[in-house]
Amino acid sequence: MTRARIFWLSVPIVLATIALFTACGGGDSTEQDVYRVGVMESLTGLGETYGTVANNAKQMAADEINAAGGINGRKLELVVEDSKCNAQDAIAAYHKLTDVEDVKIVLGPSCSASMLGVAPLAEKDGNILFSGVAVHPDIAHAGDYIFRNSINGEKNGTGLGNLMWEEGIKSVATLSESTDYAEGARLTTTEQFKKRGGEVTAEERYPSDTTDFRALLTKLISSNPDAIFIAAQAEFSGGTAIKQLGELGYQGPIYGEIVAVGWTALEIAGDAATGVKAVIAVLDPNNEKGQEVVTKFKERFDYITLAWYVGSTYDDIYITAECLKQTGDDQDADGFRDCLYDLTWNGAVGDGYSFDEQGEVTNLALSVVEVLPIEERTEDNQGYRVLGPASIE
Amino acid sequence: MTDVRSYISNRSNALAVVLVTLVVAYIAWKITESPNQALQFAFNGVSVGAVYALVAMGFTIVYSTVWFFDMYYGAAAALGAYGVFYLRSSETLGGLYEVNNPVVNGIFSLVVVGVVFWALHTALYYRLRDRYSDTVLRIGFGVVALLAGAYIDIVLTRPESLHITLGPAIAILIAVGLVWIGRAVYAKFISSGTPRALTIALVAIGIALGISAAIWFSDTPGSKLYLSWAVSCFLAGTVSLALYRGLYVFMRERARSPLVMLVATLGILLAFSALIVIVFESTPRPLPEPFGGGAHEIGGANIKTLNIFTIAVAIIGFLGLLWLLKMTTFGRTVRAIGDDEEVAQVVGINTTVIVAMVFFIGAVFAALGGLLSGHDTAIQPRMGLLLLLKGWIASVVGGIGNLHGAILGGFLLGMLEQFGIWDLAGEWRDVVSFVVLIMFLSFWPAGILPRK
Repeated sequence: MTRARIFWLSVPIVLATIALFTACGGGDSTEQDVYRVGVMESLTGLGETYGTVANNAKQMAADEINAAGGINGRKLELVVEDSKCNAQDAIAAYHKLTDVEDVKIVLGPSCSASMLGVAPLAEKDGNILFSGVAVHPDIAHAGDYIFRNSINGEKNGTGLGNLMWEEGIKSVATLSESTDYAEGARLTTTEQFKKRGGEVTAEERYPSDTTDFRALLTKLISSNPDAIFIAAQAEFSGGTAIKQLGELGYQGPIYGEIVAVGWTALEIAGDAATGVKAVIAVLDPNNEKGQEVVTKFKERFDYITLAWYVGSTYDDIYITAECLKQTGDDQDADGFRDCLYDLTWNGAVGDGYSFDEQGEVTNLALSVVEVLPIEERTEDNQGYRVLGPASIE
Repeated sequence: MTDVRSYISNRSNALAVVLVTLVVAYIAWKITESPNQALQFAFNGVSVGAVYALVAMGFTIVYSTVWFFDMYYGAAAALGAYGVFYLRSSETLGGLYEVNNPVVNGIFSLVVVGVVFWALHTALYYRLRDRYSDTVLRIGFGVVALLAGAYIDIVLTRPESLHITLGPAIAILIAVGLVWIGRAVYAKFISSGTPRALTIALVAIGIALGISAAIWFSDTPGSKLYLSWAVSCFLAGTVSLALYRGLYVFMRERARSPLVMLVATLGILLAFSALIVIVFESTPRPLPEPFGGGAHEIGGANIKTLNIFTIAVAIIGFLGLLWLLKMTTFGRTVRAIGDDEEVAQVVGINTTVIVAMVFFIGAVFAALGGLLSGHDTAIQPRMGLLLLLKGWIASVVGGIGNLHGAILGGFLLGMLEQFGIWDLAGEWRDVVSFVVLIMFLSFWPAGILPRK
């Protein structure tokens, strides 16, 4: 190798090294100006409808905070990764956020499967994981650094089990998606229903890419239940299953969890969804903040589904801002954790809520809703009317 | 050796009798136990079976001509379904997932340019080369092909006005069809050689009819959906033709093993599935509801208008293919190629052209199956592979390479899948089909109706 060649070969290496150092230096200098926080939502995949809405709500809150001057004079920067509503991709997203992006506080993810996959890692690393959407009961026991202001699905299931029993349903057949969330919803619901004295006549599960539910539904209908309960992870499958129930001529009552009454699910199910009842978290119409958030959200983004989660994820950002204000350091996960434990919050999803020793949100209520006939569904009522509070004892 | 063979065949015959008896007894017992559910299962079975039959028939006509397993065929089914979604995404779910990608439009237009150029060259070159020089012909064909490509690009870019953009195409199609029929009738009953005046008159009538059809379409609600079916099938068929003429022909010359073709076409199928995920994302999507989405109650069980339509399409498609294969010169050449491609070539059949057309027809059947199944339930990127496998199982069950076997196998598989999970959990449905496949491959590889 001639000297000239060695010289020319070394030029790019030297340049690359310089570039690398400047990049790192640049990173250090920007860290002085902003608080960096990770966001994981299911932007694609099964939870894309509510995951995207949750991400938009967070972005909206962060923009508001930054427009109002930021936190302690610093801007809030959200580093977004797609958790795709499954454990595998969520873990990849988590590693990207914590190893490459160096954030200590991660807001999300959207789906229970993602949350249950990531929670042990976050707990071991001592990083905050704070979701506004995932509801699986097991998340309660996931650890000291794991928080959520979404309501434990156990309450949801209890509410649904009670609701069905109190409406005179003696037997139910269930259809559930084979995911952590949907299976959890089915289990908690049927447990409570059986505890009250009800009977489960048939149980069918489906893999997430199922599009033809007719064979399963035919079997459910043929078991002659008083009602059919559907637990879906994706609004697509929930809506399609309800639609196909209608096509099979089923006239009886249908109960669902929150995904089955999402806007996209109702759009797919059409008239077949009329009368579907569910126990879900609903924004209190008397809570001005919640209503204001929804109005702002609709103005900025065209689409809204499951409005309560717009509120909960919007609150997440303001809660984060409050705790960052106290700790003054986005790398201080322990301080952030202690702040959350001591916090009492007045937000879009309710006044005076706080986190218990398991990191579970307290003081929030669930409601019973009923899907309206197709011509009465509007973007304002989100397709359903609230019948009253759910009994979750 | 012969003894052993006849012994095995006897044993599998005995096994067949035992199994069929068991299945029939099981189903009969189930029917008496709950006739309503049995009827509903039967309706579900024929609805799904009609789609399988469509896919199996298309698969059969391609497979029995070239004798290699073209896995692009599954992608054609997915393309058919996603094509409809692509063209109608503004109406689906309030336009929430509207897609229109200039790159995708461009790619399909380029494929159309290539195919139209090839078609013009094949059809007209030898007729015109005495009159015009090669350069003139090439430029002429090139210009027409580019115009066709530009036209397709316009159609794809403005899916909201399909009824307008497709007007000229409808007019041309009707004109060509009328001239073709008119000439055939004239030749049969009067004399050969049609007078020019008649041709011109027929073209004029055709164009007039085409324009009135376009006007009628723009007044009919839902017509855009049905037009998108046509565009979708056409594109899936065109891509199939382009793949054959642009790729498979050369691959078959070099690699004579069907296995090489299998692996290569598997690559194409996977590439298409990946493309679909990139353009449309991986979650299932619904298609708009055709025929108003009504269901009919018959004897306590329900069946949708769409399902009845699908069954009709499968039967009409079957009769059409049968007519094409048995009654036309084209069909005779197709069968000749299927029997022995080299001999067919020797006797002067332009095998490349005929096989390319077979690929087009096969892919149109796949696309029809895909889009009808998409309307029936929903679409998802893996649907192509699933439909391909189900179509293949159906043709193995019916008898590979036999059109009657394909339609029979399709409906039979649909029924077996439904009744098979009567006492099993629903997740077992695909297991049932694959067990059927393994049984047939091990004991009756020629299927129920073996190809003669």
